[in-house]
Amino acid sequence: MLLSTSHSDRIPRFGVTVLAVVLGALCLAACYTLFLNPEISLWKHAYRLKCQWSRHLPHDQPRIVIYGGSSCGTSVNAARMRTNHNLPVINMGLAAGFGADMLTQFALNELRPGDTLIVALEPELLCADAGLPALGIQCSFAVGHPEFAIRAGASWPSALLSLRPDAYHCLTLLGKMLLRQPLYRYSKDEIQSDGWHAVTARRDIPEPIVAAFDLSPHGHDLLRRIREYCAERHVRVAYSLPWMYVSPQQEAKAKAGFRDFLDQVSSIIPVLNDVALGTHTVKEDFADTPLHLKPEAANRRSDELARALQQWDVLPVIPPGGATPR
Amino acid sequence: MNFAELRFWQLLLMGLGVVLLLRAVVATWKTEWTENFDKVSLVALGFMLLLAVSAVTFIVFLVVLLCTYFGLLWILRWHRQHAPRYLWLLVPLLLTPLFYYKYSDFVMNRLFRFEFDFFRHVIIPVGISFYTFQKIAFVVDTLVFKQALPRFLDFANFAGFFPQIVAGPIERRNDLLPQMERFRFRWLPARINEGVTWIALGFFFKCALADNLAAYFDASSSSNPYSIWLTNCLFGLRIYFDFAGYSLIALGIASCLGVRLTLNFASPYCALNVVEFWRRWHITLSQWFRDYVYIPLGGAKTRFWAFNIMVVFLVSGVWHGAGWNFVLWGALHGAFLIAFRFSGAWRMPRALAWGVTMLAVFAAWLCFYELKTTALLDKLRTLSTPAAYTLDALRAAGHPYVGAHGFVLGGLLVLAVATLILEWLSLRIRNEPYYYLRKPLTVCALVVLTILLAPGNNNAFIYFAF
Repeated sequence: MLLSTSHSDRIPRFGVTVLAVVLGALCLAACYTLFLNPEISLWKHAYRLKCQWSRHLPHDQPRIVIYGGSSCGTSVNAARMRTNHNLPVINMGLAAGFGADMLTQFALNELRPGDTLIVALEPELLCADAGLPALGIQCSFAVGHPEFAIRAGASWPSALLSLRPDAYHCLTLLGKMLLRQPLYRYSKDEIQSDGWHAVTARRDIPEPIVAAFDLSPHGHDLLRRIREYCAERHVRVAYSLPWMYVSPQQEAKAKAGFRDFLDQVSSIIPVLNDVALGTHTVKEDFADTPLHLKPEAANRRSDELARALQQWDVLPVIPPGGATPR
Repeated sequence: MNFAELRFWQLLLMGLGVVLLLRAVVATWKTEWTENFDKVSLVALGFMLLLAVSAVTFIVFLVVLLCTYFGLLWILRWHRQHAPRYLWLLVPLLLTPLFYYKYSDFVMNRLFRFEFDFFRHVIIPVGISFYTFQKIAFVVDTLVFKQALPRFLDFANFAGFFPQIVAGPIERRNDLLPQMERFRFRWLPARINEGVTWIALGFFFKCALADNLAAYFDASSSSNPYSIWLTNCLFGLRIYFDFAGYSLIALGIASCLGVRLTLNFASPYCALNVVEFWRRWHITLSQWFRDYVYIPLGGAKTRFWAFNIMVVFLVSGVWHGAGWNFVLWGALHGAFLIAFRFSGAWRMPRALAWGVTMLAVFAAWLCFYELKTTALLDKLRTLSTPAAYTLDALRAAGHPYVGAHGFVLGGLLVLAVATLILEWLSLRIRNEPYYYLRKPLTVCALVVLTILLAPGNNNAFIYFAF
């Protein structure tokens, strides 16, 4: 390099200042994300409660880890399943915004040889392309498990750069502060000691758009990897479709769509039998979204799940092109 | 070579680190070798970054580069007397890969309806339109204006200077080649300071504005004129912040390496007429068309100036993409320019002139983003039907933006408009594009805003597709 002689001339001061601003802003953004972001705080709290519940379950007995997005978190009452059905269930349902890979990493961490793993991921997550949403990465760092993000495929630099808000978060937060609204729609009080999220918010349930669900190559690969992981550790695995609100007019179409989807899933892992095929037409059973059950409905879902688990009522793995059980 | 991807910066810093380390070794061994070492390293760095994009991208680039240089060498060595005639051989040869990758599907399947499936799956190598035009300009300048053929190494650096390969600016021989001939890796604090401001501004344009606005781009409505106008506005803002963002980052990286590239955008949305708009939008492409198409056709000095303008804009439309929508987009802009010329000395008040210009430019963006001809015609019909502008349509257009999404979109539009106002003030008060956006305090604020607002997943730069 050809260097100029004067020492002070050799430093691009403004460049260094901008670099310092970049690093400072990234650090502050990371601190905000990990310690102050209301959404992350809620999921961090929920994860800790779920882990505590898991630690309190008997260690000598195989356990049942059920995981998925918020549809799982709001619909599986682990305490009820333990009390009423004597099933040692851990509800590892968090938020769909984590992405399927990150949710899987959070759940696998609680899995021990001999356990049962119930994949209750929302169909949308298994039909989406590969991708690691920032929320999941942020939460893995917030709960002290950055290795979840790395195992899910993130590189350290990209994971560290994800520890910051985005325009949607900043601007909606600003709006909520201006309108003096709660900073996040759910509160920590809603998360029960067993990790079940008893949603208190009530909203008009919008009519969901019933679409065909096609397992994406990424979803296919994820399920295959889960199957192999479970086989290596002698873990029993099955898929359970979440309950979703559909209008009576859309019920037949939705059922046909879910049946096709389950056919695809059952070519990889067994599927827990659900006669309703995940479709529910009673709007009053849902709290604030077509996938969030009210506590009473969550209890019913937990009881039905407990029955299916006790009887291990599964559709067996159907090789692609094989006959479809109806 | 996506500047918004972490991988690009990792590769660049790693490459630069290796180059500087080797350079230190070479300098202690044989100082006189450093000049050639610098040039070879710069070529290698550019090729490595291009290869990281994809093997096809690199190979096609290399083929065009070799054809250009050795074609010129052959002509100048054996046919110097009639060198300009050989333009008819070399220029079509250089256009062949561009035609194959970009236009074969359109010509074979859509124009002539041959239904060759093979052409449907051809993937356009990144940057082919840009570097093909750059090399054509080089060939013309060398053969017609009888300029000397440079050393191959300098030519390779001219053609392969990595900040400008994939999306311009389309640099010209007289601007970039002398800099490449003099190129050394130098530590130039003043140029680094300058480059950092461009890079920061470019990232703000791309990540904080373009990528966020992209999330609200929804071209599905063809019957609601307000929705179409909103989509046009969002697309117009997005494509500007996206492409200008890329160009500014390229300018900044080049500046850090001690090379000056042409400012490709100069606040085009502050233009008071379409002629001025085209002097401020994608400046190097406009200059290319002026020098290599418009002037050779006779320019404004013939009776057929209107025809010449139309030819230039039709070719410009086709350059942007193989589709009837791009042809229409070019034709519309050509018509705007011809109408402006016909208006002669008649002048509107500045605010009205700006409003009319923006109305025309944003209306024309519809032809740029709507690739389906039937949908495009439906939308044009809707926009031009006064009865479609009802209160119910306005309510329906606003419906998706009630609540959080409306607040976020509103916030982003406020930020975009504030940026455009600062651009306008820069021109109005200082007559220097982006002056106030490059003030040190503003740059620091933009850096913070970029970190806070950039979405987690960035989109590829729109112009990569061209």
